[in-house]
Amino acid sequence: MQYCAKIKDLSVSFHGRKAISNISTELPSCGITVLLGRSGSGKTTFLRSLNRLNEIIEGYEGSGNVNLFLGGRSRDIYSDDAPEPTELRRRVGMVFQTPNPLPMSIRRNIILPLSLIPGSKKTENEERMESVLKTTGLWDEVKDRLDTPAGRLSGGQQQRLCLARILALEPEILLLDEPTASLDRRASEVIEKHLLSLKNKYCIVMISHSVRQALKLGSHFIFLRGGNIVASFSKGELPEGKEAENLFNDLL
Amino acid sequence: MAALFVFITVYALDGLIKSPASLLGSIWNPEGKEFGILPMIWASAILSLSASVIGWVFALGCSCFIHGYGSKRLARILSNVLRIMTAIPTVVYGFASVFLLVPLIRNGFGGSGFSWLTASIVLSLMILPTMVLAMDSAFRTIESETEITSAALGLTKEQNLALVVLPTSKKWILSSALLGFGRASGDTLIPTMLAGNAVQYAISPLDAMRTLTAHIGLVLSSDVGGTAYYSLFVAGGILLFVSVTANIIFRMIRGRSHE
Ligand SMILES: Nc1ncnc2c1ncn2[C@@H]1O[C@H](COP(=O)(O)OP(=O)(O)OP(=O)(O)O)[C@@H](O)[C@H]1O
Ligand SMILES: [Mg+2]
Repeated sequence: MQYCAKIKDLSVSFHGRKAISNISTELPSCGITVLLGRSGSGKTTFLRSLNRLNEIIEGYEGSGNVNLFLGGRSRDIYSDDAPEPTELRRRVGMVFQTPNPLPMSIRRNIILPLSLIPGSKKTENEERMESVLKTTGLWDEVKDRLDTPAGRLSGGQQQRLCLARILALEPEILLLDEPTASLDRRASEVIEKHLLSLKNKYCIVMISHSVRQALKLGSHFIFLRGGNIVASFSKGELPEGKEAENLFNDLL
Repeated sequence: MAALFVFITVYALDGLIKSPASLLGSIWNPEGKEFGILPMIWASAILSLSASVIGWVFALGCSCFIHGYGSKRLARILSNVLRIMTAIPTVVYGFASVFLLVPLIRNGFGGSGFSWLTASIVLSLMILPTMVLAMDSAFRTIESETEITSAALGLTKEQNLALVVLPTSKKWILSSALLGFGRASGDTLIPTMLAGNAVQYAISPLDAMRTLTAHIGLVLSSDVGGTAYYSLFVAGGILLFVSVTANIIFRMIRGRSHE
């Protein structure tokens, strides 16, 4: 099996309190890896350690290795050989648990990060914006108010905008922190369908609170509890039907 | 407050109606019954403008330095210095400048050293902390809201400041200029101590000048009587009008930004 990430002895603490401790695992490069666990179990912290985002949080301390498969080769992102954090974060895109549009227009939310990539062209950026807004099902809702503040969108619309914004950067690895938490069933289904269509193109790591969603989308499952991995499965190892759901519920 | 407003306005208008030519002339010569305050209006206008422009530019520089362009340690030192500066009484600025800055200007550029330039520099220094604190609090709020998001999108701290924080706090940056202008136009001590107090149209930065505020202070503390007081009411009325206008614009800018 091919891996998009190898994690060894990863520990992260904030202000001296351990958030995750000694995690070692491997994430397959194809399909969707779903992280599950109770609130506070370290899921978000784990995701953030894959794009070095923990580092800008006050009180951060971390140790261990994270090797990501980027641009055709494996690189230890915490070593000197690693790409700059800014470049790394473009290539390992993350969507947050709560929608976080920047305080500017819808258009600029997508165009601004794109325009900072060296060599990017204005017309291409505009095209890309349209195409990602279409894939997240947002285009028809916002096409005639692209220049209004993104904060005026509904929560679910904002969440889709944030997903679109990351997709526009065409990352190699996609980190999604409960991407459908603020969406209704219909909107969730649109996103879920889209994630399934992306799963062969990107390595996707997502957090989900819903066992049903996890089973529907995931091909690899990791359970966290108190900052440790307590179990991990690939789809093939799971029992059939209802039993898998029960197993998951027991682990949570 | 309203009573004060009415009181000053009535007397100022009364004075203006009784002797408009003399009050709005260019010559201040109480013995000759000439009470022109135009040079003082000019002096107040250019001094508070120059001081707030200089102060604003440096305040913006300081705020950017504190929020990303400077090292963490230097940034902390700078904000502590600014905080201490707010606690220094104005008279200390004036006093220190008479002995430090005035000779420097006299020797460096000529003239008496008591000039538009001297007063501008000290006045801008005096209003600097207020402006920085106003900008700083806006920057801090917006930065804490956008820092992680921007980082996750591949922006550096500097890019976040320049492309996200600054544009978002445009209204606070502008309104802090008005805040500084308001303080600069109302200050009496600095221009009295450092601007030379000559009644003339200052053109060169090295010219001496007398502002409206200094004028009121000086006339009240000397014993010119009678009609001269009318000119004080007009001067006071103008100052009041300017500060109220600045305040209204300030509120309008701030108010809109709540949207
Ligand atoms: N920004 C932060 N500053 C300080 N401590 C933090 C921060 N973020 C997380 N932590 C700590 O790290 C631990 C794990 O938090 P994390 O956010 O990773 O949990 P989670 O599994 O994502 O929970 P949830 O499902 O509620 O989002 C918690 O104890 C939390 O207090
Ligand atoms: Mg979380």
